[in-house]
Amino acid sequence: MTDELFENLRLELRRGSLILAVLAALRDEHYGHTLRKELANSGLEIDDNALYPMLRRLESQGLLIGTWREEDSRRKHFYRLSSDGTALFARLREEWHSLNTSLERIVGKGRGHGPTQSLSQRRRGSAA
Amino acid sequence: MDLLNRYLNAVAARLPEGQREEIAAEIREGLLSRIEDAETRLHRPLTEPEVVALLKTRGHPLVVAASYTQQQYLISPALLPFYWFAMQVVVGTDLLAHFVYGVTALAGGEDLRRVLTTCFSSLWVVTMYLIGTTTFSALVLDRAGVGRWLAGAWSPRFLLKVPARKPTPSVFAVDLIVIITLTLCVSGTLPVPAFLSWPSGMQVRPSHVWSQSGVILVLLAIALLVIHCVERFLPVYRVGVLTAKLIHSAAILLVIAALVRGRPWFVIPDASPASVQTVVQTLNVVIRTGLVVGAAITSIKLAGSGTQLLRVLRARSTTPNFPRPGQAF
Repeated sequence: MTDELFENLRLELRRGSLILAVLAALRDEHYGHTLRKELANSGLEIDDNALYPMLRRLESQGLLIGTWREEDSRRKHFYRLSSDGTALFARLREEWHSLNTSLERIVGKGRGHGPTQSLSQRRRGSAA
Repeated sequence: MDLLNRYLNAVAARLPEGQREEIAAEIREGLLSRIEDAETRLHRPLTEPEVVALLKTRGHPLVVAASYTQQQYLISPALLPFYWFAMQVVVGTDLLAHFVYGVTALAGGEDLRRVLTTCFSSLWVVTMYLIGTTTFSALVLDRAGVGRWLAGAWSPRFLLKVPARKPTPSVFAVDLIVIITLTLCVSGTLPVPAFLSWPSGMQVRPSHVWSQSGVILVLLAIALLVIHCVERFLPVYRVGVLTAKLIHSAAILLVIAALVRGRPWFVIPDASPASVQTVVQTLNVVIRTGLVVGAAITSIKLAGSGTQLLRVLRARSTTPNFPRPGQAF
């Protein structure tokens, strides 16, 4: 139950950041597969069922420009940031920086206890 | 390749029309790239079980296709509580009606096995019909935009500061049963008392006092249903509801008083046998007891509504933020 709960919360935590990562990666042109690999190489694994629909959604919102092109004798759908996407990405990046600073300040407060200590350990520690 | 094509066909069949080919082509390209990567890594073509495993990691065709469509509901979240409530009331009424029918039939001397067979066969069919009709009605209402309207038509002003006790679906089921039974009695569809077997040719009719009071009782039963609806769905009108309940209880007491004064309750021919007279006398005792019990319960309700009303009014005068209907913040 705890693992399942952790997994749900982890996915929730990642969900918002994925769009930012995808927009950042698409400053250079990519098609779905290479984009997924690039994100994975940076330590951000993303499921195909999340990535591909997200790309189509962002394209329909005008944030990405999608073009079909032949490469290695196969037709591939390449994506890159549109001008609207670039502007929005800059704003989102600012927002992420500010959020990150705030979170660092809030979450960092408990750092003295150590992230792996359990609640009972912390209680024992503060009692001593 | 055959497996891949079969997989893509299964996905494409569920994709939104108009984007089907493009999405399928993109999924195909993604899968081919993954197969290519795996083959480069292994320095050999993938075997069929490996392709199966790869397709399985991509996900069930239904799941893949669903990720491209917007989340769809049979009944939208805003309408769902109303639908669920209506379902409970409808099914509760159905169960109660069958129970009342069963008890009445048994009291009338029907065979237990026959009553049970009739009740259960009818219960199954009627319940399925009601569930289907309620769901279909909710679906039609939702598609007509009622769900969207409900989601936008609410106001924080209609929310209570402190959650109040609301009438449960069983209360509404009882309301409906009372309305249906009274309407059937007043219209003469359900003779009073239907379950007693009289000697052949003997006519015992309810006196005029029932026809006069019956219509008023039907109206009062409908009024109570309306009061319960307001209490459940617009709980902020608490003062109005309690006042209406107070008036309702007073009206019931007046009807009971009229019934007591309006005796005789049955008209029987002069030449009635002694057995009929005895049954009517027994009925009179039952009705008198029923009226006394009804009057006692109604008086308690009247006192309860009055006390609650006073409490709410006192809280209103002493609490500046007490919610009032239509009040602006």
